[in-house]
Amino acid sequence: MNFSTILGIWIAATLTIAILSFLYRDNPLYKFAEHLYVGVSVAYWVIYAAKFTMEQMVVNVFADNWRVFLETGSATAFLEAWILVIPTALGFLMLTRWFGPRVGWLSRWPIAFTIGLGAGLGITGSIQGILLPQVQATFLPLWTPDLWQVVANLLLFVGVISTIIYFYFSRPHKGLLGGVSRVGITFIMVSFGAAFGYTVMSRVSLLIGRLYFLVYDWIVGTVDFFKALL
Amino acid sequence: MKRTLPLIITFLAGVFVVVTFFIPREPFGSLEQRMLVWYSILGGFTLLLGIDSLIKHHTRKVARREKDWFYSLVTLFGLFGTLAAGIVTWAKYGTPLELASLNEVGGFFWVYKWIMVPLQGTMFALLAFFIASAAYRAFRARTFDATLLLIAAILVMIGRLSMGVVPATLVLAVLLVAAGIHRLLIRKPVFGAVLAALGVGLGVLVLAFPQDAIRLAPQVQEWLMSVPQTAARRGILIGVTLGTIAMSIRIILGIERTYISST
Amino acid sequence: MKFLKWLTNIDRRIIFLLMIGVVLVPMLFTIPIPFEVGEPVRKAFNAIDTLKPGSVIMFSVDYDATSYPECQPMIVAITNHAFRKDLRIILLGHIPTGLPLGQEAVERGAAEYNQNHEAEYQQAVEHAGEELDKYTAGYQEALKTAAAEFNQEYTLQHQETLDSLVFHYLEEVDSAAIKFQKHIFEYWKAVQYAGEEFNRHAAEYQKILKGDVREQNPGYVRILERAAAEYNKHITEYQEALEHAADQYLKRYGIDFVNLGYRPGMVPIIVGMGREIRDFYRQDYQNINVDSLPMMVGVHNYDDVAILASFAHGIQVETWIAFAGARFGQQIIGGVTGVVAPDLYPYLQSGQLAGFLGGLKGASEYESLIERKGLATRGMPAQSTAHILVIILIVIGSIAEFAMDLAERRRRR
Repeated sequence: MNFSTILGIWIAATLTIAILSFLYRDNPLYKFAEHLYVGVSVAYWVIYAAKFTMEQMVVNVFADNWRVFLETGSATAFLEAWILVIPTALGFLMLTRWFGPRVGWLSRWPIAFTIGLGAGLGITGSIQGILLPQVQATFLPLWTPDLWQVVANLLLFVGVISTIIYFYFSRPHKGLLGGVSRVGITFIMVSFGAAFGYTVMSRVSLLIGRLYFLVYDWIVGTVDFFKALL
Repeated sequence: MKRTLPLIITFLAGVFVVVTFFIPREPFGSLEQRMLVWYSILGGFTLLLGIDSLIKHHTRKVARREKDWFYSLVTLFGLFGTLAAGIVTWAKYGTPLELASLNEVGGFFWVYKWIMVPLQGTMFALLAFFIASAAYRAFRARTFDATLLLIAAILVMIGRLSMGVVPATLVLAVLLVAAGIHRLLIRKPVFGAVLAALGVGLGVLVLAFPQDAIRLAPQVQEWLMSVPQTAARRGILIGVTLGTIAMSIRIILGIERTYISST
Repeated sequence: MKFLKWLTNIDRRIIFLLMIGVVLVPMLFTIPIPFEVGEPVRKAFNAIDTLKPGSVIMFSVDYDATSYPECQPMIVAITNHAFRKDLRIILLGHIPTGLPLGQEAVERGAAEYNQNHEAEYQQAVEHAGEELDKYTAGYQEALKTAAAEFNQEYTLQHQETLDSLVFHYLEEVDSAAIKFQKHIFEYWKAVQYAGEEFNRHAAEYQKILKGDVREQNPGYVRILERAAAEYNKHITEYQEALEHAADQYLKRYGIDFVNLGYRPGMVPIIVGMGREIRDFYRQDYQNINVDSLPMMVGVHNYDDVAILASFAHGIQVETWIAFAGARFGQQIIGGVTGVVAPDLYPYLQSGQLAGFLGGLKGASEYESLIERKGLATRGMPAQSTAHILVIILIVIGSIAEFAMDLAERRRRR
């Protein structure tokens, strides 16, 4: 283990304990870690935006196409290079939000563009990708040689229909509608209970990860480091 | 004009994508591809939006020595320090994402592994404590629905155990019996009898056949997840999808305009 | 009564301490526990296990450090499995703060694979070297014999030049191996360059030789040319043998795995990659042109990707299913946190998802299938004890509440 790793481990352990100290009560150490987190995260997004968007999607593509144009005089390459002006200009229009509402209204154009595309993709994706396959998969054979499968298919069918009916609030839940939504709520309760069980498992895993780091990487790692030195 | 042009852009962009879905041949296909690339580039610019307000807000706090200005200094230090680390690694290796920078104090990967990961990880690890505390406080088997939810939750948790299945099932049996007795004593005989019988039955079966219990617990959990849970979740999914479709159509047609007035 | 009241309202700091205790204690002991593998994980395993060697698998890193303990063991296990099955990995990410985790997993996975097969690789390299040595000796013998027959003094000098050329070439290859141990791609570039240099110098040398000697001894020149052509063939065979050994025993960047980096916006990329990956990813994360990466030759869109694994902590897997799966028929498996796992069951049932790993338990099940104990297996005992604590807390709370309720009713009566 080299010096940079052991130093890193100690910094990580300090920050971990700083945040865990919040369990006792809010304190300056926790506030320090929290504010550091905000600063580091934003810097991450900026570096990624700069490298993977500005450099790789705009500058390098432009340079590539421009080079091809200079070498071969290809009109396509020229077009491909200069057409990047449009998304770059839209991007800068987006950044006018920095300068307040007097100039910031210009950002509505790129926002409208992204929202429009997103909405259009959302419609086709939702219908083709989720709605139709899921409805199709609900219509299962209600009579097969395997009795267990029959029960499962029936429960699935009844469960999906009753759950959807439960969420139909345009009519009061009385009579037949009320009865079916009662069945729906039962299914929903089972599903929420199961989801809770999984959520507990998930959150506890995060704690296990951090405690594992503290015990094995930090304490045991430091002991090993000093043993190696001596 | 300031309000109508964005709506027209939204309409045209949305309709174009839907039309291209049905007519993928040229020139629609490559035009759509170009639009998608531009969407991605715009996304990159959007990542930069947050930095301005962050710097302005915190530098103002430091300059005016407002309350907690020291922490604003910490934020700015984190921001500019990480930017510097990223630029230095980028200049040295041609990319900020170089694994070798893990071994240099102040390398971009080093900052990620020893500052970002513990901060993010521990922030969310706190949830484990809160979920245990909240589960204890909020989940009481007061009504039929709550009892059902709890039984499902505990059965799923037992199914995901790799040890202690038998004691945990016994604890569940105790809960069922207690709930049954409670219901019997508050004049709900049917419900109470059913719960108590279930509890006693479960306890006896688990004590009599512990090996089978250990084998069956994950299967019970798997069945619960794949049948009733899937049914409810699919119903919710279909409902949410219908909502998404409706919202998308509203946005394209210009009925939904909140995204414009946010500027 | 007071005790009951306290039981319904235990101080949360006691709960926090109990939580730390039940998680910490099992972690200090490694408890081997066998367990059954669930259906979603088994399906995911089979989906990868049945792929042909050389197939392309795409990893999408859609999680970040907040889900590290759950998703990282999954990507590590699947990387290990993929390398074992000789699959080729394309790594990309849609969450900036998560991509380094994926990169670490894949690069370390490759290094681990290389380490496990180092002995076999070294053996193969040595064997190839021995084969070449046989011919080197033979080639030099042929030259010496020819020299002895025709013009001894003159050609001995040329003999030494040739000797030093061969020696220089082998030295270059050796030093490249030492210098670029960790960077196999650079090593191969260096070997190729050394080979080209050798061929160039050998050709020049032979031109000079032919020029000087042809008039005097055309027969001698013919023998030299024949011997040189034979030897060059063996140099090529040597290089091919090295390449073959590397193919078999090493995982190299650009040949067995690539890292395409991050691009913002998820849905447009997923849809756009169905047409052409290069429209979004023209260069990899190091600015190397994607077309110059040997692995990416012929890989243009989802038709060329056998399976896609999305490691996610949100709705990303559903987005992949809705666009890549539905529109382009891409086979998808998911590696998700416990919070997201229940959402994926409907997709598994409808066949839109080929399998998935849910939470730490799912990761440990996968690790047991590939027989490689990782972080997930080590974390399972602690997870079990924590679950039992939560169950006990809920039950205690409920029972105490029942008792309190009964006491309240009796008091009111």
